[in-house]
Amino acid sequence: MMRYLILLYLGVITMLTVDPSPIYLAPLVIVALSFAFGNRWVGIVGVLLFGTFTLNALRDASLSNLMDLILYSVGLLIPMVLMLELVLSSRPYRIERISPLPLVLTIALTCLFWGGLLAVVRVGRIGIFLGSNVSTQIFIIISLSLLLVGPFIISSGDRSIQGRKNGRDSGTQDNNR
Amino acid sequence: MGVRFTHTGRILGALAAVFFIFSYLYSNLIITFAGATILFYLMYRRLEFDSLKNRMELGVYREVLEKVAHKGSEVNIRLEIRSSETIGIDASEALPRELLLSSGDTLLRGTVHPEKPFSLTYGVTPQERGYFRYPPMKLTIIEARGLFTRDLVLGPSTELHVQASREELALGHLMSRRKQFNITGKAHARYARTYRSDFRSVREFIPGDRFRDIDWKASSRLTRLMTREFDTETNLPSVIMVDCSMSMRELVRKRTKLDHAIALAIQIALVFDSQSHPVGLVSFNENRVLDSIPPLRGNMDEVLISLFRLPNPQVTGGYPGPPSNKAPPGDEKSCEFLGQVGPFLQGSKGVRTKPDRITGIFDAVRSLQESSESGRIMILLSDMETNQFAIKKALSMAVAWKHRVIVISPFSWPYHLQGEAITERTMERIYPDHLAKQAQLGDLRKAGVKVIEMSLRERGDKVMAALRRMGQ
Repeated sequence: MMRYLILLYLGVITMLTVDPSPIYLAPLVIVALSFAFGNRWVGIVGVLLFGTFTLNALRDASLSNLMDLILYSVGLLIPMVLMLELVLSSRPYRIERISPLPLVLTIALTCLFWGGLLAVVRVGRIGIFLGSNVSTQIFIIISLSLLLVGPFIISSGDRSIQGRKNGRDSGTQDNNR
Repeated sequence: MGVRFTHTGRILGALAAVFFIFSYLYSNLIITFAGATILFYLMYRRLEFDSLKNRMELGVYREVLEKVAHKGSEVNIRLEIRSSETIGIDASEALPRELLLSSGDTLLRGTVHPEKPFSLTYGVTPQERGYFRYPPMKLTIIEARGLFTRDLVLGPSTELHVQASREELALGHLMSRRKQFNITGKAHARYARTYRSDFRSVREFIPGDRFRDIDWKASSRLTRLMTREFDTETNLPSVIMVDCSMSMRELVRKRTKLDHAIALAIQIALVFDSQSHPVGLVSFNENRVLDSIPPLRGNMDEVLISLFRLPNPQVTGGYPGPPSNKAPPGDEKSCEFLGQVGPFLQGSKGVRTKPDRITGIFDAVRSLQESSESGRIMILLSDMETNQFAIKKALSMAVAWKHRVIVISPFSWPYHLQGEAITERTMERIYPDHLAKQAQLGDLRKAGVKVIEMSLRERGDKVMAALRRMGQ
């Protein structure tokens, strides 16, 4: 049920803020079909099309208008990622399955990301920032996000796996009597 | 062994990259944020996966459903994977080389839940006897959203103990019901129990004859006391000695001489036990005694278990296998060193250690002598290719201690040539070996050892017939 509510929400927001044209709603229909038939690949294609079509229509956002950015992020981006999560997830969330450490770390890094951006904007306002054109801003956002996220994604994750993950078995099968 | 991206993970990464490029080309800041959000999502899932890996307990459990695993008979194995967390797995059970998959599937693909372990049952047919160790399982765990995977090795491995085939055991039990083995004549064992069997003759009474042996009818007819005479049969303690050296364990066409020897030993032991001969077992390898069970009544189970636990077959470089020691190993210096060090190793300073005294056969005969008195039956099952220099000496020593020594010896070449055409070149190689073997057996015969030459398909009944002839 949750997945269809998200789709409904995104459909309404798209119609109100982006364009009521059916071309912007078509990706959401594709995602709905993926939910119905349980095919995650169709869902991923739908998310990709939704991101490209819908977000491409929102061209007036800039770091100079932080309020708009935050509104778009909360109103569109986060639901879009939730939709992606629902496409990939084979079963619903349970609160006890969510471990706190990754969540806290992700929130901390997101805060760091936004703090970095605000610092850049602040520097831009006093005239040091490179003319504050959009391409430069995009370049800075990409660099900052790759810098923060990259090490976690690329790391091998071999920190504490040895020793603990040695499974057990039933030992020697004493089947000789 | 690190974390790897799945196809879905790679596609999501590519999606973020596409968003970044698209936004840069079309100067759209929102799409850049969309790409960054996907990257943050990937990072969160990755951290979540790492956290899951570190807190979960994953275990592989194997259970053999049959009580006893026999060579050549299907054994059902239940494999279960338990996890404290819900996780996707993808693995394939690697079987030991000696086990052949006969039914079921060994592919493990699915989700393991804490309350519902992943399990499957498959059947394998052991091709050989022995202990077989499952290698540690290589397992791939899959992240809940299918974005990352990681390879794990779950150990320690499980050991499966495969015993001799059902046919060999059944034949042994059949023989124990039908075959007889009696020893008549003089017994050297001090406490050997003798029984009267067949009536032999009537003779004149000699003072000292038992009262109940007097034949009253003959006495009244002949008007003098006559005594009946009977044949006596003896139940001698018997020890089966099994040579487990490398030449016996050499695997040829899924069979070893040791397997053949075990089958014969089982059959001989069962027949002996059925005839109330106490049976013991001594197994030895090149250097020492592996297991020793004294000949006692009612320890047949121990003898069988000890036979089942003999070492595994070994794949060697082919005939003639490992170098056989016709001469004592080492030069003069090493022999001198052994002579000086040996007494300290053995704990008795009076005995000088020689190379032939540190061989398995010598140790076996010595252990037999230490644990029991003279006059036993010693049945040695050996191809006599290892420690040749010590065999005659050790067996002569046993004969000197008044043991009845019987050697049952296979010849290696028939095992290797089974079903193959014999060429002239092969014959040229076989002939010297055959002559050497015959010379060795001839030496043993001269030393008072009774020899039975075992052929490739020799079964227990023929060996028992030969043993019966020698027991007279």
